[in-house]
This record gives sequence, structure tokens and C-alpha cells, in this order.
Amino acid sequence: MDDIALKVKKIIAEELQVDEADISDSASISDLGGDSLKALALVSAFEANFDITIPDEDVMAMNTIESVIDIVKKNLKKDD
Amino acid sequence: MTNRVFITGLGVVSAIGIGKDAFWNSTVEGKSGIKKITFFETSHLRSHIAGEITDFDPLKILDKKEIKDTDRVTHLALTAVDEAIKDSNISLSDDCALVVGTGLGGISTDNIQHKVYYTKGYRFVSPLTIPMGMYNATECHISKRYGIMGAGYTISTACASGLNAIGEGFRLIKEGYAQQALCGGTDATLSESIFCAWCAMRILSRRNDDPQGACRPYSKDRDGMVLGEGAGFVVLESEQSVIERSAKTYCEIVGYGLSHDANHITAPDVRGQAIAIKKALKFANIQPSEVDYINCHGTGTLLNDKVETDSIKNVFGEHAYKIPMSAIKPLIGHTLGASGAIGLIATCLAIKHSVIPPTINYTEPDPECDLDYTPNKARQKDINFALCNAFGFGGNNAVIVLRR
Repeated sequence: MDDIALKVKKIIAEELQVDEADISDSASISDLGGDSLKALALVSAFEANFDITIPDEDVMAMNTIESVIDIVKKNLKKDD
Repeated sequence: MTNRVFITGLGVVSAIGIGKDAFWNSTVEGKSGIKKITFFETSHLRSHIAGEITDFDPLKILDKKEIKDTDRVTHLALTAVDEAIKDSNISLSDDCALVVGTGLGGISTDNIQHKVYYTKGYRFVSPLTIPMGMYNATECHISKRYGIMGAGYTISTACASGLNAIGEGFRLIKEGYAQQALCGGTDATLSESIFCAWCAMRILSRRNDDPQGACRPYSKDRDGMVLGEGAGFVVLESEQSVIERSAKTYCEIVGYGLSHDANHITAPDVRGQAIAIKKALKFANIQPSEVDYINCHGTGTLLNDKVETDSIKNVFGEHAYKIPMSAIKPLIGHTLGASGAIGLIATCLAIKHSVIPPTINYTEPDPECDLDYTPNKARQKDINFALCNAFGFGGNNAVIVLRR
């Protein structure tokens, strides 16, 4: 797992109060006990921690943890 | 004891005017007061617009010392209360009831003092932080100013606070605890760090280049709500009090329904809202088919407007399509704890003038919101029974029924 994926999972673990080891790439935010409001809390945490801006359409597309990591990476590249 | 309860005075402070006449004229004309925020820098934020009240001068009713020692939420409320008392031409008895609704209380004070603590240190934190910021500070200042010693309390049910306050004032008179009640809602919503939190929720409209056209309740292209600050207060009186002083009345409160969603903390819910509407109609002892107008909660978010539409259909069935409705939030913004009280004032004035105010900025029909929202233009109509809805975060639902 690369550093960005690790950091994303660390943020998810903290926000959703789950063990990092339990966060599989195929899990969804709701599988981990999150709802729409917690998804927004995650988005804010990613924006603050990675110093990026995540557009609304990407927020809507966040489904599995794998997709969340991809979206963070895409927006990191965009802001390069 | 079950007294009849009448509304005899209206006071409003909003982005479209101070006092009921200025407010009503802009409401009927559909003139929005939403503009670019001037209170703080917003260029780095998602939203730059709100219903700021820029022509508001607390010095008109408070002196400099009183202004310094009270939060803006209290300044707005005292001005609306002053308007309501003048409008009803009443001398309040010391046994008058007082009920205040506020979603955020003196949050600007809290914000300022947090900043002081983190930048200057603990020695600089004001001892007035708590008496200025606590939720019932506004209630205290109103009671002191007018010598009100009767029953009362402060209610905080987010966006339902103001309508709950009026509903509770209604109950206090109905049940014989008071002959008069002063009640309403107030919120000074435009505090910088809290505004950032609203932005983070991605719930605010991003039409920053078109402030007046930003909030579009029930329109397919709606993209969120706009915040506003404000206060709305009413004077309520028992039938006996009205007769004794030959007071003019706007209308009668005949029903009040309350419920919880018992669901998500921010997402609205059809079941909970429908329960509140049904309870209000049952309290009023009227059939759904007798309702002539609904002043909606109508925030302009994708979810709120669809859920409220579904709740109304759930209760009214086919009659839902025949009831004109409107939402005034595109005009003044979402004033949170004040919104239900200001909505009720608009409903009173709609009954008085036989005019349904418009829902402005309606540009595109949404198949999921297919009721009569009185798009863009006011309409003449006699109203015998009207409903006012207020649905708050936390799943608090309040509905009041008014009779001409």
C-alpha cells in the first residue's frame, strides 16, 4: 500500500472510529458505519490533510474505499 | 380551561426589511434581500452570499453599553419584539408569558471569545462570555426590558425553534397559564467559523454570482440553501384579553402539531413530518380538504424540498395538488431559529391581505416536486385555514394551523 492510501485509511479510521486493519479496499463508507454526513466529514478531513479541493461530483462518486483513495490521488495530481 | 388564542401583533427583522410592512411588501413583490456577505471575507469559501441585514442599527433601541454587553442575536430579537408590541398597541401585563426560540443562541460571542483565548490567552477572556452567549440570554433581556414576570422558557430545536416558541406560547394561553404571550425566534447566523461549517456540509447554494436568484426551492435546478439572519416575534392574546381592550386581530391559532423523526440528525423524514402535520390538523379539528394555503419550510436543498413535498402528499392525498404553497427563504435566507416565526408572520399577513406570496426563482419544474408552489408571482386568494411548517435538524418538526 502506498503512502497516500495509508494516510487515507488512517483518516477514515479516525473519523469512523474503526480499526485500520478492518478497512478493506472493497468496503463502502456505509459498510464501515458511516452515513452521508460522515462522508462529508471525511471529505473535509481529506481536503484539510492533503491540502486539496474535492469537487461535488467526486464526492457523489465516492463509493468503495478504493474509489475514495483514487479520488484523493486524482485531486492531488490536479493541484500539482 | 381552553382559551381561544389570537395573534394581535407582528414584528420582523429580516434582510428584506424591518417591520411587518417593509417585509410584506418585498415578500409579495418577490424582492430578494440576498447579497454578497460583507461581515467577513468569503472569497476562499464555497459560498459568498447570505441574507445579511445591513440596514439594521441596534442603536435605535439600545444604548452603546447595552449593545456591547449583548450578542447580536439579542439585538435582532429586541428590535422584532419592539415592532410586535407597537403593532399590537398593547401594554404588556407583568403576567405575560415569554417564549423564545433560537437555534444557535449567542454563537458570535462564543466565536469571538474562542479567538481571544487562542490568540491572546486566558487572561483576555471576557467574564460576559456566558451571560452574552447562553441560549436564554435573549429571553432575559426581553423580560427585563418589558417587566415580563410570567411563564416562559427558551427553546432550541434548530430550524423549528421559532415556530415551537409560538406554539408553546399558544399552549400557555390555551391552558390558562397566561392571557398574553410574547413569542418568536431569533438567530444571528452569520458568524465566521460557523459559516465555514455550513460550507463544509456542502448544503449552501454555489450561485455566488447571482445572490438574489441563488435559492430556488422546488425548482429542478435548485442547488442548496442560503443562510440569513433575522428575528420574528408575535403578540398572542386570549379571547378575553382581545375583547377587554378591543384589540385588532390578524388571525386565530387553532392547531399545533409536534413530532420527532427518530431518524437521521440532518436528513428530513416523511414519516416524522407527516405525523406533525396530521397532529396539527387534528388539534384544529379540521379536515385536510379545508386547508387553503401552506407556508412551507422550503429550504432549496435537493432533499428537503422533495421530502416536504412527499410529506404533504402523504397527508393531503389528491387535495395536495389544489393547495397553493410558498417558501420565503429565497427572499431572506434560512434564518434557522427565526425561520418558523418569520414564516408564521408571512402566513398571518397572507390571511390578512388574501394574497398568496410567491416562491421566487422557480425556473424549472421537477417531477419529484409537482405541487403548486405559487411560482414567481403572488396570487389573490381568500384563506380560511393556513398551515405553517418548520422542520429542524435533529428531526424536530413543528406545524401551526391558523384560521382567518
